[in-house]
Amino acid sequence: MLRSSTLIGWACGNASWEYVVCPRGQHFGSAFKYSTATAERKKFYQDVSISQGEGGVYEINLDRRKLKTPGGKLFAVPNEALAIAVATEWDAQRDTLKFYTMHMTTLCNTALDNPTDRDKDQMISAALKYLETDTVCYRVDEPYGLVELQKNEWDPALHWIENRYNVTIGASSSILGPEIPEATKETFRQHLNSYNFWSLTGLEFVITQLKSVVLAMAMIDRHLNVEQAVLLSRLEEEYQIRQWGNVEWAHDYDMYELRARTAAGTLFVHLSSESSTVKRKLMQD
Amino acid sequence: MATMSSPLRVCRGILKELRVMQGPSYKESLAYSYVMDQFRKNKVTGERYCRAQQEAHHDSHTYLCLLESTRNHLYLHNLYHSKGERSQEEAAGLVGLRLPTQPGGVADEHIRERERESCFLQKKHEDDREDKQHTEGVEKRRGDPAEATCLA
Repeated sequence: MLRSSTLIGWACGNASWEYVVCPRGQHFGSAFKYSTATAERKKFYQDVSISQGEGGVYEINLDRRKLKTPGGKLFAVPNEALAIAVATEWDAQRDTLKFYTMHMTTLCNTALDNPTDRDKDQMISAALKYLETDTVCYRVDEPYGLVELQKNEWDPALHWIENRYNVTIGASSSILGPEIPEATKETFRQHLNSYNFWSLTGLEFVITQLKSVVLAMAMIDRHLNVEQAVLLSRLEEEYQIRQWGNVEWAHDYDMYELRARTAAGTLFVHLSSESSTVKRKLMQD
Repeated sequence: MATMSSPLRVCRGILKELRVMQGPSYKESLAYSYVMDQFRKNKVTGERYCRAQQEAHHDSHTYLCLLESTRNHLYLHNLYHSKGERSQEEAAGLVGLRLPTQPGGVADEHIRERERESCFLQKKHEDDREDKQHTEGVEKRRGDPAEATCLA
């Protein structure tokens, strides 16, 4: 397979990545590469559709050609909802392809290609590292308004997760952060181990975006919705905005980007980890 | 903190986003049929607290957030961060200057000025000197524009 030396950027928002599209049915050989390092890619397809491949996986078709990941693999997702979400992203492009808006596609690419060759344990360790510097646990001592805000907004989330998982995570205002006992880490490790590889990719992405394991787990367990989690993650920024004013091209821009990425990550986790069946119940008269 | 909590509002929100994204033919899209299907399936439930229904509601809210935030993010990006650097012409135009290569630019000015002087000097030589010296003078002027401008 041809490989060029252009930059390949993976998840977490890098805009330059290459993807390979090949004629239907052919995976190797005559694939031609588009390198996207700085030039803008024009939209070269009209229709986007999905089809079911072998093994019950769903594939995306752009105008008769199958979509492939930047690593060259065939783009195959395990369920239909995810495929539809990705297809909608591709369909939403106009004129030029803006990869930084296609979050679901990026996540699927990362899960499929695993460019840094990580296994589940490495991902779980990386995710749990954020627990030691969890946003929700880092408190300030002054200004007083911010202290109050942190207590009122972050404490409920902390208590909820402590109850839910039967763990102890303290909040601290020292520079070193809270002391997380080993038992807590063990509990989370076991819990995270129950997710499959795809869900873990999404989960780690969400944790990295929110900079907090507590908020990510609260959102995955459907205790918070995306807007609330993002608000809690950006609590200090919101406090400063309320005091000093909002700058649209920075604050709103960052907020929408964070919301989009977090929402994509959460949806990715939920779609990858659940499977639904329909059971009809007969109405009893 | 959640402002849109009813499934109907979330559904309407998602449909609005799809309409904005895809134009008038959004009803034939895959996403539309899937979303409507899911909403219909989860609408009726015999349980008082149906976990699947709650999960579906949360997922639909998440998807609405995704669509809305990507649209807003793209809008803000195009509004503030898409212009890039100014071209050289625009940068010169900020202070009312033109590039040397443009009509009305500085190089143009030099050429025109030399032509004006050459007309003036030609007349002067015809009046005062012979033709030979006139041609010499012309060549001298051509080779030494600095002197020509001094005479102006």
